[in-house]
Amino acid sequence: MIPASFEYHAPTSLPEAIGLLGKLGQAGEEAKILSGGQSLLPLLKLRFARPGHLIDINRIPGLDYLKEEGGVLRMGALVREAALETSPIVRAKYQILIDTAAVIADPLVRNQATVCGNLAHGDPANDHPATMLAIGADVVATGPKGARTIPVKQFFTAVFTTALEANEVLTEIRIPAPPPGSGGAYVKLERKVGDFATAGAAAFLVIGGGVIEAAGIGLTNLGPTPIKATDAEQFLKGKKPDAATFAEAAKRAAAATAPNPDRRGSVEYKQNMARVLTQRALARAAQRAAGGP
Amino acid sequence: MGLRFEHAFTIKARPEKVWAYLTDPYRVAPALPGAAITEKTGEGTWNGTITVKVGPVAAKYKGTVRFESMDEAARTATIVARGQDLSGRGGADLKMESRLSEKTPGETEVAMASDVNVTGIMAQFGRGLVQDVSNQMFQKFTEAVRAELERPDEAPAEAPPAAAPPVAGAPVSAPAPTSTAPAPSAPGAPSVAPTTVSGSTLTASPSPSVPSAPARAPAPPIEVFSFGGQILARAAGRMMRRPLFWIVVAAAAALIYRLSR
Repeated sequence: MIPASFEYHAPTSLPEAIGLLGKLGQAGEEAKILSGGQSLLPLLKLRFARPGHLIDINRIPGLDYLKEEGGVLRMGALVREAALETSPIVRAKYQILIDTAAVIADPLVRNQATVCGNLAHGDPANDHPATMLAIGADVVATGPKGARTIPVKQFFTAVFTTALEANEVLTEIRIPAPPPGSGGAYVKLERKVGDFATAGAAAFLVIGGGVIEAAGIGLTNLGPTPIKATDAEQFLKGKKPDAATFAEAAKRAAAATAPNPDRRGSVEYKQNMARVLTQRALARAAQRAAGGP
Repeated sequence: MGLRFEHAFTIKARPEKVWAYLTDPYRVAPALPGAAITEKTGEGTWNGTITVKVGPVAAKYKGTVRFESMDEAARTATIVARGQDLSGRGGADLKMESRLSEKTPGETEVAMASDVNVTGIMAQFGRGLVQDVSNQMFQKFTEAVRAELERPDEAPAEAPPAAAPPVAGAPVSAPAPTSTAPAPSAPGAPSVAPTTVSGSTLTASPSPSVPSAPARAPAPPIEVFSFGGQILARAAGRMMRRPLFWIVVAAAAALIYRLSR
């Protein structure tokens, strides 16, 4: 199918885009921001969603920055997944982002899809939310009254729902630069290349003095929202990064999931996969923290 | 796709008050995210709409609600609702059995068991998503019901149904501005709002949260036929029951009398 008809707007500045969102919202019209469109357009084509207006932000200059400054990696609203894969800074210091981008759909999609859009869409099956939960990122939402920073752990509120107000645009993701002795990894199980995750686990560890100083675990497509496995994270603190510890942490992470049974698997299967993938992600993260690949 | 939901919640209000509220669709609809009653079509049957929004996906259903059974003594009721998606992309049927029981004096437990059948677009999302959305809607529903019913009573429950005005307790904040949101205009709002409940739509019901018996049948002092006139008439009817109103009128009359001498 093709999308139902909609009004198309192509603002050339961010204030113009936000103004449009506000004006249309007040008029009772439904408007969606179009950045990469790789999550949104399929919904429109299947006619699951019929927003009356699409506000295309691709013509707004200055939104595609990807830079590290002041100990924070900042990426703007139009940074494509492909940009992550080719960026020297990301390849050197943020391997977890490379892991995540590499398993999103296919190269054609990754050339268009934006990282900010991946978060703003609010789909629990998207991959970046779990990674951002694991590494403790913040997002910046810009509205008519200015920008506000939202920690990612407060961003995903319900199924397909985020903390973005109707008149706000997600304009930036901020990732703290990884401290020395840290490493992260994202592992995804999919039925075929480019599929949504049967289960996905992101793990980030800061290891110092032979023990885990801090841990972050995010889980993909295992509940109504992306899941932060806080129980497993608390358990890991202060423990030695060995296989037994990771096995126990993985059990706790799996216990935090509430997957829906579907063609990808039953509840028991998905929870077991959550456990296995968390274990693998933790092991990989520890390996990277020690300087390995 | 057939689903069964069972939800229960407790509310700090007397069972009679909860029963009166839950068996009045005009009062309950605003508490359910995206729902509105458009008209009463017969004894115990109403037409209504509900807009269910899951992120960017919204489906607006239009249909009927009726009480298949209602037992006031046992405080059980069965509600049957069915609706069709306005763009022809499916429908939903709901049969809900609810029961109220008094847990402790002044605290009521509401138990609801629903059988839902969803076809079309929402069904394509899969059982899990429908369950998640339903849980979320139920959560918002209980919050709204609690907000409405757990407020302190504005008048004693035994107030005689005659036009005797409520005593002592502060007069309700100006009824005139808040009554200008009649229920039938609510469908305009939910169809664009996300699944949040606008608590202010409770004022869409014709009765304020004074005991429903006297408030449900106010005799408007003026017979008017225009819709706006009905609103004003109801507001005027409420105003006329307030003692403060008559005190002010008496004082003004006395003042005018004095000044004209």
